[in-house]
Amino acid sequence: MTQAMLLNLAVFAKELRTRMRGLRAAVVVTVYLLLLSGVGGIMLYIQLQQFRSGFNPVTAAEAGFQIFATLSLFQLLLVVFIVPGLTGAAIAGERDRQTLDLLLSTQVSALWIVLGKILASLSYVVLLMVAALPLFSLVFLFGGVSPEQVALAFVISLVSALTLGVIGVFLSVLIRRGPTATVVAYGVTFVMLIGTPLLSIFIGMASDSSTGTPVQVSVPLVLNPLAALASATLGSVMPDLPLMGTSRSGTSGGLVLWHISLIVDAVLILVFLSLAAAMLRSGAPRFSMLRRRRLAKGEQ
Amino acid sequence: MSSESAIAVEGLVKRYGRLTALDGVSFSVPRGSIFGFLGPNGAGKTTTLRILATLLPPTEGHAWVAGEDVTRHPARARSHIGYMPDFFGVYDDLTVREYLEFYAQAHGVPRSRWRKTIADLLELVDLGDKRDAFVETLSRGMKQRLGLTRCLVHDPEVLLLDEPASGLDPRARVEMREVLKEIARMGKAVLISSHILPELEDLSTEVGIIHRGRMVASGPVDSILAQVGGSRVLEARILDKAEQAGIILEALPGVRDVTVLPQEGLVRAACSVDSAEQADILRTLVEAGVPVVSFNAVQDLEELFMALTEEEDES
Repeated sequence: MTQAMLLNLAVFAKELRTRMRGLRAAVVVTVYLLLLSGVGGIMLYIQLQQFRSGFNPVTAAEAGFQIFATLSLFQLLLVVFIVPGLTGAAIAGERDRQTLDLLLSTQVSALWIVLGKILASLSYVVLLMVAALPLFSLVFLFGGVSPEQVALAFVISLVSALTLGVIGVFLSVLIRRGPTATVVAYGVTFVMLIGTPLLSIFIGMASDSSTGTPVQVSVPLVLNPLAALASATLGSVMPDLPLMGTSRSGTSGGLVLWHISLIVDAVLILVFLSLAAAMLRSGAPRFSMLRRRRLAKGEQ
Repeated sequence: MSSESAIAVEGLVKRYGRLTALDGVSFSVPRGSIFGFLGPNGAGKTTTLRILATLLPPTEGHAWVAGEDVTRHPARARSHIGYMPDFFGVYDDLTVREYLEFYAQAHGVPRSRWRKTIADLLELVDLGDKRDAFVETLSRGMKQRLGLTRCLVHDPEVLLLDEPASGLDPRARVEMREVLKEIARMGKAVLISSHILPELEDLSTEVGIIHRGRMVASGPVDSILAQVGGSRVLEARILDKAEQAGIILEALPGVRDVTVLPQEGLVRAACSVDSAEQADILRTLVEAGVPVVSFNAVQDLEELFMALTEEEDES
C-alpha cells in the first residue's frame, strides 16, 4: 500500500478501532440479531401452520418468499434507523470533543476525513448484515427465493445505508452540535420512510384521477428505501402497482422503481459527499466564495 | 524574506463582520528560537495561531510557515506545523500508543518509523511508562504533554502552542517548561502564546506583544523588558498589621501606589524590577515585625499594555 493511501485511511482505521472496541459493538450485534430472529421466528411459526395438513412444494415456495420478504424489509428498517445514529455525530462529535482542529491540521484531505467516517459506519452495517446471513439462509429450506434475490435485497439495503450515511455526515459537517445533527439525520430518515408515501398519496388525491398518471403518483417513492426493496423483491408478485413490477409496458423507458432509486441514490451520494468535503475546511460555502473573490481582488 | 524565518506574518487582518480581530499584525520568528506571543485574552492570539495553522483564512495579509504560504499551499504548510490549540480533546477508547500512531499515520509518517518515533517522544515528555494506558485516564498535565508529543510526531519545523500552560498546576507547568526548552534545543522554532508574562519571561528568546489585534512590541526579551521600564506589582500576604505594613512600604524609596486590603490580609504596591530592592523591602517588613506569609513581585501586564499602547498612540 502506498504511503498516500495509508495516510488517507488513517481516519477509517481509527474509527474502526474505536467503534469495535468494548462491549458496545457486541451488544449492538446481539440486539440486532435478536430482533431479526424474533421477526423471522414469528414468520416461521405462522408459515408452518399451513403445513399441518401435509407438505406442498407450492405452499412451501410461497412461505419461503414471505419469510424472506419480511426479513429483508425488517432488516432494511433496522439498518436505516442505525445509520443516522452512526453518522450524525461523525464530524460534529469531533467538534464537540475539540478534536476537529487537530484532525484538520493533519495531512488527511477533507474528502478522506469524510470518507473515512462514512466507510467506517458502512463497515458496521456490513458487519450486522453478514452476521444476519445465516438467518436468511433459513428461507432456502422452503425454496421460492433465489440467491440472486437475497443478494439484490442486500445490495439495496447497503446502498440505502450509504445514502443515509453520506447525508448524515453532511449534516454533521453543516450542523455545529452532534446531538442536533443526529436528530436532523433521523428527521431525514423519517421523511424518506413516511413522508414520501404521504406525499404520494397527496399527489394522488390532488391530481385529477383522469389525467394524473400512476407514474407521477409514485415519483416521491424513489427516495423511499422500503419502496425500492419492495420493487426489487416483491415486484414479481405485485405487478399492478405503478412502477413496482417488472413492467414491460414502457413506463419510464423500461426502468422500474428500484432502478431509478439506485440512480437517485448515486446522485445523492456524490452531491452530499462533495458538499461535505468542500464545507469541512471552509465552513459555510457562501462565506468562502465571498472571501475568495475578495482575496482575488486584493492580489491584483 | 519569508524563506529565512521559520514563521513570517505580514499585515494580517481578520474581520468577523464588523468586528476586527486582527488589524495588520506583522512579526517574524527566526529558526531555532522560542517566541513568546503575549497579550490579554481577546487580543487576537488564538486568531493569529489558527491562521498560521491553516485552519482560518485571513481577510487580508499573508503568513508563511517554513517558507510555505499558509493560504496558497495549506497542505504543504501543514506538514511543517505542529499545532496545539488552547483547548483540545482526546479520543476515548485509544491507548497512548494508538493515539500517537493515529496522528503519525494521518501526518504521513512512514509506518517503519512509528515505533521508534513514538518511543523517543514519550521518553522526551516522560510518559514512557504510560504507553499502553488509555488516553482518558491521564491527568491534565499528562494530556498536555501527550498533546505536545502529538505535535512532534511528524517532526515539524514549527510548533504553534496556544496557551500550553493554562489550567496546569505549578508542578506540571515546570515540567512543561523543561520539555519546551528541550524541544527548542532540537532546533525547532516554537511560538507560545500566553496572557501571563512570567510564564514566558525566562523561557522565550523573543517576545511579541499583541493588544486589540495590533502588535505593540516585538523583539528579544531583554529589550522589551527594558522598554517597559521598572514597574512590577509587589504583593505581600500577611497575617495582621496590614495598616502598619502599608505605612512602612509607603516610606520606602522606589515604592509607589500602596494599597492595603486589611480584610484579605494583602498589601499591594508598585516597585522596581530590581531583585535586590525587592529583597530589601521584604527584610524591612520582617524586621518591623510584620508576619509575612508570602511575598512576590509580578510583572503587571495591564500596566505594561497601558504603557505600550500609550506609546503607540503618541507616536
